[in-house]
Amino acid sequence: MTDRAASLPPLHSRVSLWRRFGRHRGAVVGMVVFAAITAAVLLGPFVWPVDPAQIDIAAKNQSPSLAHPLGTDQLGHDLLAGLLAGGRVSLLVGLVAMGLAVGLGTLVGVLAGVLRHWDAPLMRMTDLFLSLPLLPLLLVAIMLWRDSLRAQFGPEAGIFLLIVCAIGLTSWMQTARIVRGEVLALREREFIIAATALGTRPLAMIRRHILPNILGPILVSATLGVGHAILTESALSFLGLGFPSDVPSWGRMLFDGTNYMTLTPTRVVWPGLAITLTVLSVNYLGDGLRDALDPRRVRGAAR
Amino acid sequence: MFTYTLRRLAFSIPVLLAISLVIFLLIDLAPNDPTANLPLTIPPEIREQLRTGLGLDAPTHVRYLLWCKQFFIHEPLNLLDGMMGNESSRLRLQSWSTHTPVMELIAERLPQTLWVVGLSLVIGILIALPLGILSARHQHGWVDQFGTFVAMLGFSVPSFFLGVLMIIVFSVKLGWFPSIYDTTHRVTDWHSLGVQLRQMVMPVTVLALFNAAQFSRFLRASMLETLHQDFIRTARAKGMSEARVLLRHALRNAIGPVVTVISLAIPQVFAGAIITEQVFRVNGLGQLLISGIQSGDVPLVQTLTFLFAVLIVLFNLMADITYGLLDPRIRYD
Amino acid sequence: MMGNKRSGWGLATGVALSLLPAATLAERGAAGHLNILYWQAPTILNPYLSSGPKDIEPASLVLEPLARYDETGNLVPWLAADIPTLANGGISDDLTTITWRLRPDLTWSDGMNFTAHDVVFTANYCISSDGGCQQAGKFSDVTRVEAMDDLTVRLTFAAPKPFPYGPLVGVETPILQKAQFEACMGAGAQSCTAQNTAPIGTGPFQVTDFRAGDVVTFEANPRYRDPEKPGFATVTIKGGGDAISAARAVLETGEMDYAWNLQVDPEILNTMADGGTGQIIRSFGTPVERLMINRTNPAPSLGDLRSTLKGGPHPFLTDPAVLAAMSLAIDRTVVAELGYGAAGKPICDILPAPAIYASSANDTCLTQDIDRARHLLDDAGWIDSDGDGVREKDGVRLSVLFQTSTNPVRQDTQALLKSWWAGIGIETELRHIDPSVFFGGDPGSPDTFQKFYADIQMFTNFFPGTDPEAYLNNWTCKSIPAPANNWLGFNIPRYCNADYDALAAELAQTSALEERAVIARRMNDMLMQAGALIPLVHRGDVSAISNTLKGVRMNSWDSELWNIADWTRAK
Repeated sequence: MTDRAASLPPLHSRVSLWRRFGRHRGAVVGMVVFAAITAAVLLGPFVWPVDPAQIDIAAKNQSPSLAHPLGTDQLGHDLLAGLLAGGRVSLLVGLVAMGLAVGLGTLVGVLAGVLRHWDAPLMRMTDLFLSLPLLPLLLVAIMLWRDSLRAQFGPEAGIFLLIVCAIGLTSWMQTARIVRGEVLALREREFIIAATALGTRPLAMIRRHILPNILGPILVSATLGVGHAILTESALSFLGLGFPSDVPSWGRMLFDGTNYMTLTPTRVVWPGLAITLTVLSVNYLGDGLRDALDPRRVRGAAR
Repeated sequence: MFTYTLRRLAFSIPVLLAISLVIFLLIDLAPNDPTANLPLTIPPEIREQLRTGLGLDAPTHVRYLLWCKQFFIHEPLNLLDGMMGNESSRLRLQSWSTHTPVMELIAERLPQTLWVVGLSLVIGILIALPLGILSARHQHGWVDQFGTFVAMLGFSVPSFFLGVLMIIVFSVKLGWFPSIYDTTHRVTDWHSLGVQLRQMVMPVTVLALFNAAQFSRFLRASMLETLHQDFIRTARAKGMSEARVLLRHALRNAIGPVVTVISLAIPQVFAGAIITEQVFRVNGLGQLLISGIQSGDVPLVQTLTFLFAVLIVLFNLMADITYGLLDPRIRYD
Repeated sequence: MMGNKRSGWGLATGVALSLLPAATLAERGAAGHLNILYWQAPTILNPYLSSGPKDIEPASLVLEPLARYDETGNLVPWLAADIPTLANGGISDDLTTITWRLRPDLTWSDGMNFTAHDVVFTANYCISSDGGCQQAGKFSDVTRVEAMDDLTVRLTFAAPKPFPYGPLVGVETPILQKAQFEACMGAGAQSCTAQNTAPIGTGPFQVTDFRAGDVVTFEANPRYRDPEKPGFATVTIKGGGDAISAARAVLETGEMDYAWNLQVDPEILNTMADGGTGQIIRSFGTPVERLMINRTNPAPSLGDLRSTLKGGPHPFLTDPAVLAAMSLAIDRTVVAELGYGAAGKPICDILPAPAIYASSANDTCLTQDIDRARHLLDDAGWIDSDGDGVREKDGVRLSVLFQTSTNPVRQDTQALLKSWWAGIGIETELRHIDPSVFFGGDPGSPDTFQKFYADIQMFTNFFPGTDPEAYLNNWTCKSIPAPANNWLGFNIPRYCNADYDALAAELAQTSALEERAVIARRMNDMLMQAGALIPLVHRGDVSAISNTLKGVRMNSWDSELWNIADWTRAK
């Protein structure tokens, strides 16, 4: 394996990167599904302009009908409207919190792996974060920052920031440990040693040699991170630490619906399906991206 | 490697002390309160007296040092006395809500947590290993597609939903398994073992699905990386059997991330599974922790969390040692 | 648990067969094994150190008081021979002493005799506990407890006590055995693990195994005073999980015989009850779900003066028109039906029961009247002048922060109120807070119900037993929480009225039940007319019992398990 083959493809091959991505059937399907879900939650409210907070006691716990295509909940909220509005919250929380966690985890992991002197302090900090109990942490965060965030950004945006940060800051450790482990192994491989000998600067080394070679585990972390964040948000609402009860999210709809599973099964089917489809499509997207970016597949594909 | 291990172990002590302080400050700062569960018929002055009685009016550093004294000095000495058969009168770490020694509570909860959460980890690994390897070997093959589907299901279907669904199907409709875990059940013969297995089926399945999903994804990803490397091609070119290539060469090089994930998951066994334990009433360590948090039981939460931290530090050290064993080129300075 | 049940049944048949010749249905232990589910698990069996009904009620299988309330709220003698009254001389004419005569020939489950010295010890145990006794409030006026002889106990109060049945009566303050607890006085109370988890009692059962926060097992007390009781030989009280799954275990899978405190959407509960293995039972005590209105200003800009009398009155929640309109906009029938079903009744008073205390002066609030609510606001000058759907006057917008504890039924009620208030031009921001924080007394937390850094909050309160005096004292001026008293006090709305305080003082001096009721009703009406509290629902207790369980008399005035000695299994 030569040095060049193990690094990111140069700019002129980005086109072929797209072509390789396009050849990955799962990735294309994943992208289409994900785009469809995003479009639905962004544009859906214009097509289905029902207020998700509208209460109609007379029409509670209904099965799907023309007036309510997905049925209603125990207060007569329209579930389709709730699914569309909740999707915006869940997707945003899922992607932003995942980005934060994976970004932070990769940063810490790479730094610990590459810079020998930083390894011990960073990893002990990771141990500390791993052992912090999430619930008291959130209670403290809410006590300290909720009111100032509410004053600054309004009640909903404030709690959104709080939740995203809380989820992101408490779920980066696994990624960090995995990335560090991979970097440690990578550090001793011939092409890295060769690159070091050739005087490659650390940043260039990380960008050109290290990151491309640990992309697989990072993308798995990212995929799993989306689902993790969406579900953690629902667990937080359940514990009284999430969004106000009149802000729907997929996780919360699924959680509330669980109790009504025997009464109106559609209440769990749709939010559950939405979460699963999102995670599944992100997974295939990540899969395709990894295959397309994998430097060794360049040769594989050319063979 | 040996000196490295010793150095790390020695270094663990100040690290753990620092962690215990941070945890204590966090739990202490948290606004949940031991008097919150009392009925409102108990007048406010009595509530205040109760808080004072628990020592909540003492300064934070005094309470932290008291915890340290009880945890690091009294408890080990009491344990020693217990082994020698002596009565000991040192003040033990007491839970505020149950007025019983924290260590006894933990000992009571450990068996069911080990049975259920521990077994689910083992089963998760046993499913994940073949699934991850075969998925990577035949990428986009039917095993891979099936594995992806199961893994994504395991990761996007939360345990609070899956658990209740299983209870409705298998306990209510079919009546196959009990929905309530009996912690007083003793395994003495084949029949009682059967009863024990039956009550473990549902919680173990829920947890194992999640574990298998996570492990198999990481294993598949790093197997894919490894299988495309030169030494695998070399090994195949040499005419090695496929099983030998996969297990001896590829797996050994690809197992790193899985070792990391599993070493992070083992301490979690001792932290219990909060939601699954709740759904099936397993009442293990997870339930102990959550009820401790909900009742503002500082000594209980502090002790549980700290023991958890000890396990995390230990298992992360073991993971680092394992990296070195798997890949002798890795060096720590 | 299934295995357990089977072995229980096996035992039952065994006992029945061996006693076949003389056997009647009312044989001790003939009904076999009983499975009870308290989804909040019991953590201690000493009611004086407990943290609420989840501990106190399981303890009532073992420990018994001098007298307790039956399911109609009447006081019945239990370990006492009769109820002391003015008429029988048990209560002194100046109302400062009460003399209890005990039943003769009572024994503890370990064979020792039950005497007046045990009763005296129990009172002193709580009084001298150095802040460890949760029931100390019940003994607050007791100055002396003495044994006149082995079967007579006299309690002396510091002041005339028109209703002296607080201490040693009811589920909260049962009698402990002196011999067992003697070493646990004062500071020792905390470390008496063996005593606190397996107290020796006079009740129908004794503890065989206790696992804090998980499960307790009991067996019949061989020395119980009635040789034919209890009906069950063994009892398991299992804890953990949530209310819905608890209901499922009785109503659908039949694994459990009794499940306690099922605050579950009534529609789900009723669907489950169709499952066929059990039924739902309900009873009503004194709990009322109510809104507390903050009469002081909670604006964050006030800093330390937030929600205190010093910080000044609330900008609009002291306006009677706004308060009346908010109450009128609520359809209490819908709130009750949706959240509580048959276990909830719409109500306009905070004193719902016993019947003698129930006022009817405020019943107009039972009918929702949106139009009148709008008129009231219009007439008071609250107009939506900028067209944003929210009324304002003099630059003050009718926008409220409405908080409560995290609980699905409460969040549903919040959503309903928000939509009704939106209909009359009042904007609502909802917030729910973890109960361990909301009901906690951590002085550092801004989110406690006593600090009340919000405009409106909702929760349930009630009073134990049948006498409302202490409960009504909650709304006197001196009970207002403030930084000066460390936020202690249950006058959450910060209502302060000299006339109300005068009535409270009068109530403390009145002994005739009829007169007490008149005063109590006037105090209730005063609070209602001021709009300091907006009652919503009179809440009942809900439990589920197996179809095979007989003899349960659901009781909201005492332990739900108060007559467990009489419970049997239907054939």
